[in-house]
Amino acid sequence: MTLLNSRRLAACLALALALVSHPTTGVETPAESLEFLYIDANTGGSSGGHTAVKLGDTVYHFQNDEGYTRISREHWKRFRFIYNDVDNRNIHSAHIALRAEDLQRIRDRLSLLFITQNRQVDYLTALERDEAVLDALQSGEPIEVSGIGFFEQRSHESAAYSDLRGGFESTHYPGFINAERRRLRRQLEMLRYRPHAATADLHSDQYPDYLPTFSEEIEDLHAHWFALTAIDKGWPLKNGSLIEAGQLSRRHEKQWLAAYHDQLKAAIIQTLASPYPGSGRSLLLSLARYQAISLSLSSGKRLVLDILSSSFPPSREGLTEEEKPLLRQLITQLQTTLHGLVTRESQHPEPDEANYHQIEVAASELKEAKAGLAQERRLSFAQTEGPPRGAGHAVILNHAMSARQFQTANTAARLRTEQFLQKMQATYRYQLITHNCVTELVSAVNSSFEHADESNALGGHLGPGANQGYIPFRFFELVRRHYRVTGVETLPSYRNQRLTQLTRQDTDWVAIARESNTLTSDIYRPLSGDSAFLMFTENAFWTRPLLGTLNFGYGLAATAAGLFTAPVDEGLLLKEGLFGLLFSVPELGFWNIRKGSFNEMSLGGHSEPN
Amino acid sequence: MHKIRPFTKLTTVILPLGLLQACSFSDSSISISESIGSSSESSIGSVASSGSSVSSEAASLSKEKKAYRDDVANLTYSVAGSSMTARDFPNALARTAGQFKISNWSQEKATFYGIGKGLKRAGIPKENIARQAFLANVLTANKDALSYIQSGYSH
Repeated sequence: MTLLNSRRLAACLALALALVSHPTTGVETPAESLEFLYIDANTGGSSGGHTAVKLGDTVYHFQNDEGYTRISREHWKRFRFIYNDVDNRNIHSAHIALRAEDLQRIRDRLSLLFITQNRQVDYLTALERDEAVLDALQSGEPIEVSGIGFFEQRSHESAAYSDLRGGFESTHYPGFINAERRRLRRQLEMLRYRPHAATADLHSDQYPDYLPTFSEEIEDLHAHWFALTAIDKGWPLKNGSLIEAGQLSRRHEKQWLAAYHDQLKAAIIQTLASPYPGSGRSLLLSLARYQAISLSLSSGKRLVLDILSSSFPPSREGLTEEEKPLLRQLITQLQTTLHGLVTRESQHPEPDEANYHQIEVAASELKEAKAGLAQERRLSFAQTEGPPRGAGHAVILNHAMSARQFQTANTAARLRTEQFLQKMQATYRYQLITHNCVTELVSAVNSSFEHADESNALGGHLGPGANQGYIPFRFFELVRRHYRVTGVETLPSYRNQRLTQLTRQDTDWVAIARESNTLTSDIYRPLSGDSAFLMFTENAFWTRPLLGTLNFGYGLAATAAGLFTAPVDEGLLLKEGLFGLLFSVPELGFWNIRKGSFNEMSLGGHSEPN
Repeated sequence: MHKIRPFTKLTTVILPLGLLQACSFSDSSISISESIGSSSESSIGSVASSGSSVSSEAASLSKEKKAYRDDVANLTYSVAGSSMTARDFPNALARTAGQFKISNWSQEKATFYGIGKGLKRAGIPKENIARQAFLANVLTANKDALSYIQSGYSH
C-alpha cells in the first residue's frame, strides 16, 4: 500500500505533470536504440552510482534485493522521475549504434531473464505463504483470497447472472452448477499438504515449470467455488464498490461495452469449463466486471469497479492548507485523464481490457481524490500489481489433516521455503565486486549473443567486472572507450535543472549564492537521509575540498548536537551528523557523492526537466 | 548539458567505498503516478485500424501490446520442447499477462501473436503448431487461437 501523504500528493502531481509534459530531449531517441545509462552517486543506498540499459522506452537494471540480484524493468518516464527528480541524480547516457536484429536479441534476452526470475520470485512467495495458510487452516483463522472482496455474500438473484447461469447449465446439464460447487467444496476441505519434490538447480534463462503450491491450490479452489456460488445465488457486488463515471450517452459507447460484456461472458464460461491453475482470480474479476457492465447497460450510466475501496480504509490524517491547491490540481488532471480514456475506449474497434482497466483506475483515483478534498483528509491509494485484486478473507475448513499432520506439514513447508531461498541466493547472489548491478547487466547483455558476437554487435567486448568495470562510473567510461558509441549526453538532476533555469534567466549572483548552501536554498529543503551538510559541492570542483571542510565542520556540529538531542529524537540528528561527516570525506579529496534529494513536497509540481 | 569527467586513478581508489551501498532499491513507488503514467501512455497508438485483417493487426500492435506479445514470445520460446504441460502453460500465460494488467489472456489477440512468434523462434515448423502438446488448452481457449498464432508466426 502507498499512503498518499502530503509529500506523496505533491510527487504524484509532479509526476503526473511530468508524464504529460516531459519534453523530448536528445536522449529520448526513437524506439530502436540502445543506451547504457550511468546514474550519478548520491547518499543512502546509491553512493556507488547505478547502471542500467535503455531499449526504446524500457529500462532494465539490476538491484540488490535482500541478498540476491533482482532484474527490474521500468518505463523510462518512471525511471527518470525516480532517479533524475526524486533521487536528484544526473543520468548519463551512451548511445550505441547497432543493427535492429542485434537490438532485438538483447531485448528478447532481457525479457526472458525478467519473466523467468519473476516466476521464481512468485514461487518463493507462494512457498512462504504455504506456512501462513497452514497456520490459518489449523487455527480456523481467515485467509486472504483474491477476487472475493468484490462481492457481497447475500442472496440477491442478480439479474446480471441469469443469462450466465442459463448459458452455463445449457452447455452442461441442469443442476451442474450445484454439483460442481459440492465437488469443489469437498476437494477444498479434503486437501492435504504434499511437499513438492526439491526443485532442480535454478536457471536464469529457462522459464520454470512449477506445480501449484498448497496455498495456491487452496485459493484457486475457493475462488472457483465462490464464483459458482455467486452465479447460483446471485451475489451482488459489495455496496459502494461501483463508481459512476459519466453517462452512456452515445450508441457506440454502449456497443463497445456490450461487446466487452459478451467477451467477459465467453471468458467466464471458458474458465469454468476448463479451469487452469491460477485461473480463480481472473474468473472472479471477470465476474465482477461482468456485473458492473450489466448494470451500466441497464441504467445508462457508466459504472466501473472501485478498485481502491476493497483494499485499504481511508486515511485519517488531515489535509493542510498547503496541500489543498495541489489536490485540486490533481483532481483536474484526473478528470482530463478519465475523459480522454473514455473517448479513446470507444475508438477501439474491439473491447480492450487494458483500456477498460485504465478507466477503472482513473475513476477510482478521482473518487478518492474528491473524497479526500471534501473530507479534508489525505488520500489512500493501493499499490496494485497486476489486475485489480479485490482481496477478501474467508475461513476455510480442512477435514483432511490432524493437528500432528499440520505440524509435520508446517515443518516441511518451512524447509521447502528455506531450500528454495538458498537456491535463489546461489543463482542470483549479490556480491559487492563480482555480482553487482554492473556485472549482472554486462553478463545479461553479453549472454544475448552466441560465440562472443557482442563484439560485432556493440563494437567491442567488456567482461563482467573486468578492468574495475564493477564500479558503475568506471563501467560507463569503459563503455565509451570500447563500444560503438555515437553520442553521450547527460540529463541533469532536478536541482541542476532548476539551477540552469535560474542562471538562464539572468546571472543573478544573489540567487546563485542563495542556492549554494542548504540553509538559504529555495530549491532544496534538507531531508532525513541526505546527511547533515551545509554546502553543495556537486558543481564546484576546485573549491570542493574547502567546501568539504565546511561540510565536515557542519557534520561535526550536528553530531555534537545530536548527542544531546538523541533522547528526544531517537538519535536522528546524531545519525545525520555522522553521515554528514562520512560523506564529507570524499569531498576533501575532490570527490562528490552527496547531492541532496527531493521528496514529493519539495518537488511539488515544479518538475520541468530541461 | 554536463559532460562526464574522464575516469581517473584517484576516483578508482575512492569509489569502492561508495560501492558498499550500490545497487539498492529506490523507494519511490507511487501508485497514482503510475496509473496516470499508464493512462497517458498506453492509449497512444493503441487504436488498431478498424476492419484490418488478422495478419496486418499482428504487425500493428500498440507499443504496450508489442511488449506483452514479446514477453509471451520469449516465454513460448523458453518452454517449447520443455516439460511444460498443457495444464500449466495457461498459468504461465496468465502470470505474464498479469504484468500488463491483463486478466483474460485468452481474449487478448496479442497473446496468440506472441505464441506464434515464440514458436517460430524456437524452430517449430508452422505445420506442427497444432501438434504441440503444451498448446492443447490454449488452442481451445479461443476459437480463433490457431489462426492468430499462425498470424503471429508469420510476422
